[in-house]
Amino acid sequence: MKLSAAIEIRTSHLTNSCTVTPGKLRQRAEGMQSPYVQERLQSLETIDLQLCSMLQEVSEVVFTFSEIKRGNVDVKPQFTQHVTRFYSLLNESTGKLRDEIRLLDENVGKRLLPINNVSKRALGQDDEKLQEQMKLLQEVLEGPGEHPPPTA
Amino acid sequence: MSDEQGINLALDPNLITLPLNGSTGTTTTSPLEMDTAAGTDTTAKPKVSLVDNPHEMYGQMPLAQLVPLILQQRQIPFSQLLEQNIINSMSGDEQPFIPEEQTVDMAESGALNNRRGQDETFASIRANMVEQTNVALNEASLALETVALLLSATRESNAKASISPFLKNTVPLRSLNSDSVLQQPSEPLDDLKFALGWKLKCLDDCKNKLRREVDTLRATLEREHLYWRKIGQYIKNSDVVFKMRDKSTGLKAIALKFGYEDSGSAYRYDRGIAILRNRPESDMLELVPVASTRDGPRGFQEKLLRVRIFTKIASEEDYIFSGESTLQDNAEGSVFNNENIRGQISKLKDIIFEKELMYQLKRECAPLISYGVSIENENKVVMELPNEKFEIELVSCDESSMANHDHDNPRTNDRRANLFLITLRMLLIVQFKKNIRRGLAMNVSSSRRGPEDILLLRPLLAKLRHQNYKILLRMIIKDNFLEMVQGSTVEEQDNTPRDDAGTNSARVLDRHIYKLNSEIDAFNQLINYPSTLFTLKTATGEALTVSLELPNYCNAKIEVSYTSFHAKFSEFKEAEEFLHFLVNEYVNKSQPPLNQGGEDPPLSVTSR
Repeated sequence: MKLSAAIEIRTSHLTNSCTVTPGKLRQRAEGMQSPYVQERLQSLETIDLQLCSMLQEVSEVVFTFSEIKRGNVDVKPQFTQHVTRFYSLLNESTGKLRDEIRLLDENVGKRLLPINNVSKRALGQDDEKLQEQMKLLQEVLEGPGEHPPPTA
Repeated sequence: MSDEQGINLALDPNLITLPLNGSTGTTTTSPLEMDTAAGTDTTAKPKVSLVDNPHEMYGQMPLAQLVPLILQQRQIPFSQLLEQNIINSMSGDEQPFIPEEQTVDMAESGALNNRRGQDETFASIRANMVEQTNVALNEASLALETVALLLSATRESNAKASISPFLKNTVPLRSLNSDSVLQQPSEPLDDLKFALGWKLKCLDDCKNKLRREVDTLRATLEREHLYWRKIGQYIKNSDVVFKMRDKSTGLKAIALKFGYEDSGSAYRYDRGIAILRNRPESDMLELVPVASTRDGPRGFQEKLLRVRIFTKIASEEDYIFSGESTLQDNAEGSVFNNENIRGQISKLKDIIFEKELMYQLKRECAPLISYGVSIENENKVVMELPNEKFEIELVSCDESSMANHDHDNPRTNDRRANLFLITLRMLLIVQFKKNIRRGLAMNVSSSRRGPEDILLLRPLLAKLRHQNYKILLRMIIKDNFLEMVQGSTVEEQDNTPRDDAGTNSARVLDRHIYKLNSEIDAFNQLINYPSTLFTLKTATGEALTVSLELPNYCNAKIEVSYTSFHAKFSEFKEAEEFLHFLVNEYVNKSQPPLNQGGEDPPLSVTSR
């Protein structure tokens, strides 16, 4: 009973964390492509995987527990091992997640925009377009000039 | 005696008012009284039930009532009430009903046979009665025990008051109606054995479920990571991404803004938002434009602008197709099927830009119908000039690219068409910049300016018309001046104002507005009214100027000046006549008009 309750709690923890991370990732997405952001993405990916393997450990724990109940006492050390691994994963991922949140907080205002209250605006697209057209114009003007604009 | 071996239930002694062994003659008075009463009334029918006996009430009477009754009957005080006395009085007064106690005394006397027979009858009745009373008492106390036991479930204290000690010790309270069942702690091993199968099965199920979840979660994470990696790969820092709910799937998604809204666009029919979605079947990132409300179910159409030029054949009243603009390089086919997100973004930008260009063109062209500009349909604007025709059309990318590949041989006016289109685009950007400037300046000099005038086609139209007017004017000058005046020359000078007066005056402090002003001013050559100044010189060096202007981009204004003459015309015929007059009257006579008629007021002629 206690075990299944524990599993329940962990699962909900996992799902919660999983729903939290995409949101965090998005904010990373605002400052794409710099190595720093790539690093953050990578790290969040690792956290995701760790949370996932936590669930796997839980399934192993349940499995070894049922083996023990069947009378197969030899798997007891495995049981302990899985439980240990589960908690160490939980510990590790929690720590990492906290680090990520700390990094996010620290970088708001430096590398990142404040998350909720400032919406980024698509400025400078006019200049982008102008540059593009200038280039195009240059191409047209430098292109085969056998048909200059007739004056009459 | 029978009552001694009754049911093994301890009866409350308080309930027993009759002596259990009545034959020994107990001290209690009640049985005596009852016996006397029974003896007097029930001699005839000794089997009569005790319940029906009215004198039974004496028996049920508490001693406190019964004793006074006896005392009253005997007329003696309580102190004189003795057991022997009562026995004597009973044997003396009521000889025939002498109870059993008397028989002991009477045996010695050897009394009458009759009396002996009566005694036997009485004894049997009495025994019978005692037995029945005991049975009734037992039943009553049993009923009481039952009630007490039942009551113990709800009111334990009340029940304890009436329950017998024997029952209390042998039967647990509250147990009769199973309100509470005392659970005996069972052996844990037995318990496990009983449910072991279920529990193991449960654990197995649990394990399987968890493993399945792990697998699905892994797969989901895999896809999610792919998605993020791609976004990290394709989305640039300058792109605007934000969270949005995907209406088609109801899921949260990342949207990308590609519209020009923040860059000065005033187009509100399409906000230019696309959702970055992972295509489920192929795990490819795709960019899905959010269909604007106006477009409705037709969705986002891949349409770009195309300019076609038709030249009029002089002899016939017909146009030939002489030039077409090439579509933009990044618009080859449909890029929506591959994972070229950058390509898709730039294409979406192009499409929305062209869409807006068309929209603004239509707005600008609406009042220009008298100058040969007409809106042929929703996606086509036609500009007609005396010798050629321009078609600006929003065409679907697929159609145009297909049509384009059919005839690849270059035409005369392809280049012009391209230039025409590029100029239109640039003018729209200038328009954007003006909008931004207005938004910025709003705080400084609020609504001083009215809504910005759209200037897209008109500058081009003005250039073209100006060109035609110039040709006309050259002919006029040639006919009326060069050929009339000996040794005369003509100089032509482009007089288009270069800078917009006052935009970048010293009071513009905001550097952003300053920057915008200078950016917009760079296009002044294109935007300002075209103007040309012709300077006609005679051999003697006398100058006569003719200036051509298009103050509203369409109509010509001709100004002819000669010394003190300043005449303005909007009709070429009138200008020609005036020029002719000047040449004939003054230039050729070499008489400056000032010398002759200095009082002449400066001519100012306007046709309308």
